[in-house]
Amino acid sequence: MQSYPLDITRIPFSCRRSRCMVFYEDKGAPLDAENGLYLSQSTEGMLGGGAQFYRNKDYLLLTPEKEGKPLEYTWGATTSGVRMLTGEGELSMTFAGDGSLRIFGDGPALLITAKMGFGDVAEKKGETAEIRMDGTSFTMIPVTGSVTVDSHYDLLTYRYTDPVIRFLPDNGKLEIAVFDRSFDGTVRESRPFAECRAETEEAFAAFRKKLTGTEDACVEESYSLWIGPKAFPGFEGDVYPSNVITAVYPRAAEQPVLSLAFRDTDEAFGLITKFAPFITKGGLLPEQASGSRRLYQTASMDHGLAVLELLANGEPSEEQCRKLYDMLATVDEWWVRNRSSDGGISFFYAFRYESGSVSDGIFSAGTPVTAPDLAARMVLQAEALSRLADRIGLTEAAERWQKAAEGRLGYLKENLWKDGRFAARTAEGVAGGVSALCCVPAILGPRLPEYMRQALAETLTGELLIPGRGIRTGAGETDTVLTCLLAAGLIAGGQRDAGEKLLEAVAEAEKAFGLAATYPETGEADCRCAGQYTPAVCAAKLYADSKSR
Amino acid sequence: MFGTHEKYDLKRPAYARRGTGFYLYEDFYENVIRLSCYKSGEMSSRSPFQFDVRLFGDGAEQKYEYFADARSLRADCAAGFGEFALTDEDHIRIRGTTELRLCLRPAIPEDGTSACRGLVKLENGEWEGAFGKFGMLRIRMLRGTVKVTAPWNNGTGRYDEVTFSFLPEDGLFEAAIFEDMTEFGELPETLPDFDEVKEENQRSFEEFKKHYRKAPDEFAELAEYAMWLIWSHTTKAIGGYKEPMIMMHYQWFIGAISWQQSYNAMAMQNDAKEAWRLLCTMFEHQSEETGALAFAVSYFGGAIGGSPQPPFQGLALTFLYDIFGDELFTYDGCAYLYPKYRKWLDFWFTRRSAGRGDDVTAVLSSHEAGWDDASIFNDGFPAENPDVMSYIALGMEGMSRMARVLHLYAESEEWMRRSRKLIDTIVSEYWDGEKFVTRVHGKPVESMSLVCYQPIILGYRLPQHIIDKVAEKVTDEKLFLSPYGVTGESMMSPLSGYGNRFILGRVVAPLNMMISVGLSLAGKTKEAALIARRFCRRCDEKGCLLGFAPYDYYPLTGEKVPDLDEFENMPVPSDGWPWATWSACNVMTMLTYVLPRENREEKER
Repeated sequence: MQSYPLDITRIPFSCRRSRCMVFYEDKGAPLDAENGLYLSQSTEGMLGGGAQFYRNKDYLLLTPEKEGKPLEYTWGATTSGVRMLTGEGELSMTFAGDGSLRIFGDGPALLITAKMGFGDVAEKKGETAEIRMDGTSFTMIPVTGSVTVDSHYDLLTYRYTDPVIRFLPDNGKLEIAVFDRSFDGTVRESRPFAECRAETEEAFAAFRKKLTGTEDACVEESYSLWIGPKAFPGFEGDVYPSNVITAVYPRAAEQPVLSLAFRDTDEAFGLITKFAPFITKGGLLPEQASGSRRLYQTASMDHGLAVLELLANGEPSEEQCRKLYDMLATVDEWWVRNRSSDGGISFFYAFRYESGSVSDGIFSAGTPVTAPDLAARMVLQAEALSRLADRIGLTEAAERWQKAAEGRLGYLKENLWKDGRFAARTAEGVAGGVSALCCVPAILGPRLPEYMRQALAETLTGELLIPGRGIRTGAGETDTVLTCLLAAGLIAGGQRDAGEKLLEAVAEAEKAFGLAATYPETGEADCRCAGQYTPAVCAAKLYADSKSR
Repeated sequence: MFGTHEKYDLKRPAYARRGTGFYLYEDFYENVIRLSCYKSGEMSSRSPFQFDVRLFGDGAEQKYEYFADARSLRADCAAGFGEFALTDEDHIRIRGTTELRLCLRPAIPEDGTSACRGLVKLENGEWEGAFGKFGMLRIRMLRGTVKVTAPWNNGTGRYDEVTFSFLPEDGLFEAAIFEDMTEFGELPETLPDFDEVKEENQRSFEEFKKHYRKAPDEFAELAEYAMWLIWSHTTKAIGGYKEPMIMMHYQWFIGAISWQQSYNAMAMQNDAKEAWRLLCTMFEHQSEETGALAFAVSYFGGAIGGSPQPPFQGLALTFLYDIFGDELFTYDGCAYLYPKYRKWLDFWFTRRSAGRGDDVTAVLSSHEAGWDDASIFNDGFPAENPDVMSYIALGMEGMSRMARVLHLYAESEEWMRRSRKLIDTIVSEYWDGEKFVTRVHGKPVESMSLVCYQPIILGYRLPQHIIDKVAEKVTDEKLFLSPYGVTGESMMSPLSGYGNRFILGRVVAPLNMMISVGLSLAGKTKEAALIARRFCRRCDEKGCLLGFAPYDYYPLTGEKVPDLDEFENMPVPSDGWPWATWSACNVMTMLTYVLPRENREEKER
C-alpha cells in the first residue's frame, strides 16, 4: 500500500470514518490565530454555523512540549499520517479502525489549547479529557501516558476559561485516542502505529478504485472525496458537505457533480437522490439542507448531464433508476410549472441566484430572463428522464421526454442564438455582453451543430478564459466546477484543444493555490485553514480529466 | 397600550400577535418603526432582514407618531396614516391614506441589501421577493399600487436599495404581505376586511386572557401588559414548533426555551388543560438516546441541542397540582407524560448522578441549573446543588401522582418514597444551619447566592426551622431584599454585580417568583407577598423586563455601577433591556397566586 504526500495547508488530514481533521494553518494572522498544527472537526455546528474558518473557533492547537516548554518542530503529512518532528522526539498521527485519531509520541508531551465560547466545556472526566464546543465533542483518552486539564468555569464571562490540556508521556511513550464524540467507554487497547497507518492506506486505496482517475494522479482530489462524507441529520447515510471546513452543509447542486467522479452507477445515483427527501410539496429542490437549516431557493443544476454520463458508462439498478426518475421528474415539473410560460419548452430565471451566478451578463436587462445555460440543462434533464424512463420500462414516458428534449433543444438553437453566439432574452429583448452562462450550451456537445460548437470554443478560450485560473464569471472571479464541465463538454463536442486549454488553466491554478471553487481574476487566492480541494470541485476535475485522456 | 404617548413605547417590547411570523418594533436610534420576521432566528442586532416603515406626503418624508394595541399598530402623520394588522395566517395587512414605504435596512450597514436575493413581478401583478434564509415575501395590493425600487449593482452583486412604496388610490391603499420560509402554495383568493382582522386580533387576546386568574386591582394594568406579551409571543404549530409554544423574545433569544414553557404553565392557573399542554410541549423534543429535553425549540431548528436545562417541570407539576388537584392529571395526559418524564428523570439519575448510589445528582455546567453565573458554581463541577435536586424531588412526587392515576400503585408508592428520601437528604446533608449548600467533591462551596435558598420551593415539605431561616434571610434588606425584589446574590457579596450579569447580583424575575411561591407554599405568605409586590411594582413602572439592578451603586463599597447604562438603557440582549415573556409569566404567577394569598396563615397542601 502506498501513502502520498499531502499538503495539509490546503486540505486537512482526515479519514472517512471520523469527523476529526488535522491541518496546518500558515496564514493565521487575519484570523487572529497562531500559525500551527490544528485539530478540528467537520461539524455543522449549532450556534452561528459551526467551524467556519472566519471564526477561529472549534480549533485545538497542537504543540509538542518538553517539561512544560514548547518545542520547535517541523511537520510532514501523507494521506495516511501526520508527523511532528522535534529535537526531543516525534509525535505521529493516524487513524485507527475504530474511527479514532491516534496520536503516538516518542519523547515529547503534547499540549492542546483552544479558545472557548459560550456553552463550551473543557473538563477531565475520569482519566480522559473532553472538550465540547458548539456541537463538536472531542474525547481524548491517554491509552499510554496521562492527561491534565486546566480550565474552569468563569462566572463573570459565562464561559469556561481557555483550556490548557497536557498529555504527558509514560517513560517517554505517549498514545492518545481522540474520538469525535462524547465517549463513555474505555479504550485501553494500544494499537501499533504501523498497523493503524496500514489500515488507513488500505481504506484509501480501496476507495480510489471507485473513482474515475489514474493511479498516481489526482491524489488530493481522490483524498477529498474519501474524507468528505459526513453524517448530517435528515440524510440517509453520509453525504458530502460543500466544504469540510468552511461550509459544512450539503448543497443540492453539488450532488450531481460529485456523482460524476464515481464508477459505480448505483453509488453515483445514490448521491444525487440524497436530496430527494427535502423536495417540498411544491416540488422545489432546496439549494441547501442540513440538520437545522434549509435554504428554500433552487437553482438550475446538472442532474441531466450527470445522469446521461453515468448511464452511458454504467448499469444502474432498476430501483435506483426509479428513485432518480421520480426525483428528476418532480424537479422538472417544478420548473415547468413555475418557470415556463409555454408548458416546458422554454424556461426563465425569475431570480438571479437561480443561475448560480448573480452578476452574469445574462441579467443585464433584469429578470425574468430566458437564458441559454438553463435551456441547455433542461434539454439534458429531459433527455436523462427519457433514458431513465426507458430503463424502467415506461416506454410512452420515454418518448414523451425525448420529444420534450428535442423541443427544448430546438428552442435553444432557434431562439437563443443570435449574431454568432448564444444570448439571453428578456421581454425587452436580447441581453447584451459576453457571458459564461451563455457558453454553458457547450455541455450539449455534439447535439449542437459544428459552427455553434466552434463559436463556443472560441469564446471560452478567448475573452472568458483567465489564464492560470479558469472561466471568468461576472463577479470578478473564475468558477472551477463550471470550467471543468465546460472543458468536458468541449472535448465531447470534438473541440479537444479548447477543452484542454481550459483544463490547463485549472491545473495551473491548482499548482499555485490548491484546487479552489473560485479564484480571483488577479492576485492571490484566499487559502486558509486548509479549505481548498472541496469535494465538488475535485469531482468535477476528475470527471473532466477522464474526458481528456 | 403602546405608542408615542403611551406608558410604554415599542423600543423594548416587540409588537406581535399570537401565531404571527411578522413583528414590529421601534428602532432605538432612529425612532422609526421596523418590520421583520422572526423565523430565521437572527437577532435584530445582526439581521439584515429588517424594513424601516416611513411615511411620505407629497414626496416629503413625514414624522409620525404611533399607537399600538392587540388590534393593530397605526402610525399617524400630518399627511395621513399607515396601519398594520398582524394575522396568524402568515401574512400582515397594511392600509393607509398616505404613501408608506418599507425600506430594507440591515442592522449592520456593511450587509447592505444582502438579505434580498431577488425580486420579480408575477403575471398576476403581485411582487415576490426572495430573501434567502429569511424566506419569501409576496406583496398583493388590494387597493392602490406598489412601486418597487431595487436597482441592481453588478459590482457589489446586490441591490443598491430595496424599497416597497405603497401608494393610495382615491385616498387609500390596502395590501397584504405574505411570508413563507419554504415556498408559496395557493394563497387565499379573498381576504377578510381589515377591520375584521383587527377585531379577530382583539378577540384572540381576550380568549387568551381566560387562561389566567384575575390579578389584584392595583396591578390590573401590569397584568394586561404581561398577558399581552405572552399572547403575542405564542407561536402556532409551524416549522420546528410541533405545538404552540411561547418564545422568550422576537428579537433576541428567538426560541421557546425549555424550562420557560413550565414557568408559563405555572402562570395559567385558570386553565388546567392549557397549563398541562404547555408543560408537555418540551417532551415532544426529547432525545431518544439520552432522555434529555432539548435546550430550546426554534422555527428552523426544531429542537436545539446544547446543555439541557434543569428539570423545572417538577416544580410546575406539583404547583399546578396544588392549584387544580386531580383535575390536572387526566388518564390520557398521564399515559402520555409518565413514560417520558421517567426517561427525563433517568437522564439525571444516570448521566448526572453524583455517584453516591442514591438519587443525588450533580450538574456538569451552570446552564444545567439555569443559573449561568451563580456563585454556587465558584468551585466548578461536578456540582451537587440542592436547587436542582429540589426540582427532581418534586418531579418524583409528580410521578407518584401520575402513577396513581395510571393504577400503578406500587410505582406510585416507590416514587413518593424516593421523593421524600431525597428531600430528607437535601435537608440533612445540604443544609448547614444557615443556608442550603452546593457541594463539589463533597466540599461545600462558599457562596452568597440566593440560589442557596431556592429549595424553599419545597414549601411545606421543609422543616419549620428551615422555612423560618430562609424567610429571615431573603427578607433581610441588607442581604437580599432590595426595593425591587430579591437579588440573585447577596448585596454584601463582593461578587455581586448589577451591570452585565444575570443572577450574580441583579433582581431577576424567575428567582423572585420561585422564592415568593416557595415562601407562600411554606406558609410565609406575608414575606412572600412583600417580595412579589416589590418586584411587580418595579415591572409596573418599567415594563416586563427580566431583571433590574437593585441600585445604581454597590451597597458594599459605595461605588457606582460602571456598566449599568450599557446593559439597561441600550438595545442589547441583556436582562435589563428587552421585555421578556419569562418575566411576564413570573409576574402573572406572583400577581395571581402569591399576592392573593397574602393573608392566609396555613400552608398550602
